[in-house]
Amino acid sequence: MLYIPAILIGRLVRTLVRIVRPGGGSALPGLVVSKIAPGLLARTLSKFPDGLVVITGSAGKSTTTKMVVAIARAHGKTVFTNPSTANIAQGFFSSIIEQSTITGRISGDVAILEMDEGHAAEITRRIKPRQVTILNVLDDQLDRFVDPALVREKLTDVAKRATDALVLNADDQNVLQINKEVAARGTSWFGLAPQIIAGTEHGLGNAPTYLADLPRPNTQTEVLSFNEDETVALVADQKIKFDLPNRGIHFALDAAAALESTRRYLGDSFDAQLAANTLTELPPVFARGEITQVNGVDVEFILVQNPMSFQLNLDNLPSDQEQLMVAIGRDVHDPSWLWTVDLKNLKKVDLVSGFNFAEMALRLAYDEIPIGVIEPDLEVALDNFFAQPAPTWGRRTVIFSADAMRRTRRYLGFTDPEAVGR
Amino acid sequence: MSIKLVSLFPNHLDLNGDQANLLVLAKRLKWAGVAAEIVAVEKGKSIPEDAALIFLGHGSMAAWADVESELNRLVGDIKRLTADSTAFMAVATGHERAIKLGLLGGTAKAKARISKFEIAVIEGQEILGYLNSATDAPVIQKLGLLLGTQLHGPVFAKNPVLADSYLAEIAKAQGVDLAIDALNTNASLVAGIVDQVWELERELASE
Repeated sequence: MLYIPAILIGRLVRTLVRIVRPGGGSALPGLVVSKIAPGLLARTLSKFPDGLVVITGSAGKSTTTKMVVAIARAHGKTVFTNPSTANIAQGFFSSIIEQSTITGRISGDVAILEMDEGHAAEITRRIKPRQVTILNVLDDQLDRFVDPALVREKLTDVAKRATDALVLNADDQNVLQINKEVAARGTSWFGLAPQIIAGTEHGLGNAPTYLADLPRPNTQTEVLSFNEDETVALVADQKIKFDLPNRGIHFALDAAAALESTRRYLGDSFDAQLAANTLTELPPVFARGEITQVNGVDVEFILVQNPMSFQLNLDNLPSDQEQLMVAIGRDVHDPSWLWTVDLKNLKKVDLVSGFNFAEMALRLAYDEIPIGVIEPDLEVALDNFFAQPAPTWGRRTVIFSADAMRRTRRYLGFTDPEAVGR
Repeated sequence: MSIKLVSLFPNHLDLNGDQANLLVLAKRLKWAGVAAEIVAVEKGKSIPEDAALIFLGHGSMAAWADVESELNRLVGDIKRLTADSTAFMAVATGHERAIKLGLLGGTAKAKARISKFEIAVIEGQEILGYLNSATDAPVIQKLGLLLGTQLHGPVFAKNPVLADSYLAEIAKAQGVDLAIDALNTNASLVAGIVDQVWELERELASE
């Protein structure tokens, strides 16, 4: 009963936000409720019989969480989860407002939550997770985090709070350092076969530790190979085959993380074949390399969120780019990191836009990569880009950061957050 | 002859794209018709005697733990070369170390962290960049060929006037007469974009 007024206020705020900004704005209702009823989060999350499963790290959280949730649901579990745009405390409040009864209760077996690497330590101080999956530590959001070592310290605290199971990436030395610090008994490992990483130009893009490499632990789940048609993984000695929802080495790593996370969570009831089938049936994540149609013409939307994802996406960029737009939005607070990315796979950019259009254009100009048009207004840029005649010999591609993606999505009318947001 | 831009431990000290400063200098020299090369000095190596500029970038705590002693090993050489005709530039955590090692003036005492765009003034010129600093080290300082700044990332890219005047001094010290061609296509394209960067980031700096 205690939380009824708070939930009602939260829902009212949510309704108002949706009227003003269709398809956007999940933070405000949660922010309001987190102020008037701070105890709601711990109360709600502590009620799930199977407890709390946390997925955190610098990159891959939302894809991995989506995979873990799908596999758990395929095994008959009722799951409470959060959208990727709501992975800090106020976002969890928003998700509760959305999914709970009027008294703040959510029925279900388990909460499987993606948590921001900067906030997870604080949240798990109040609500102990049963299981923690740590994906990686990258040089990311340094305007916030300053130094990757500080992120590693926060994730070490999160790892220490796992009561049952710790699921870690064997292919990130930062994570091996975390494990060394935590010295937990319930640790298991996921990774990619060494030849997969050896075959990439920029590796997985983890923050360098500059320490002597710790020996790679034996993995319980490992992706052995992947290509356009098929991914092969070994999960607790059982070989399975599946399709990844999107191309790229980071999706293979996310799948390995998801398989090991669900194997640990589900225990004896884990069915590797069912997990493989579930991964195969997952729809592609929006803007992670799948083809969408706008004005009846195929376009590929590519989301870049940090130096690593920009780099890996460029490394994987098909060479037949006929019409290419780059939009870097306001989510990039300090655009300095754009200068760490190797742009040699960009032969030309037809249109540069987004809040940080100028810094992106400057970067391109100093690399002497030809720029067609610089258009500060993203909506005008989108109008112009999609008004062009359809490509005749190659692809139409939009590379954008998270903020530019959200604005593009709203402007183009992709308003269903479930369809495209996660 | 070719102007030699020497970077100390560039694989370690590029946390915020700081090495782009050398890319910018090399491109501006190229656009002015002057040959330039960027030379990396990694661990265990020594600084070329004919360095026109020695550049010290910005790194993570882990990176510094790995190269700190290497930098200490090179301090004598840096002092000797900069006493002659070699320029020296240090950025952010590299700047803080340069101050502590007596390569540049000022202090670098701990204070509350600031993370924002910043505009500083040097030699009557406004300089724009991103400041993410937890020390009282000067935002930017210049004494002849010695330049230090807390502004990380591509300072020269956003401040071509500073880049060109510094390049002219570097070239002069090397006996090269540098005439920056304002009509160069690349340089004028960059100039137009720099105006747009300033328009946005000046506003952010005032927030």
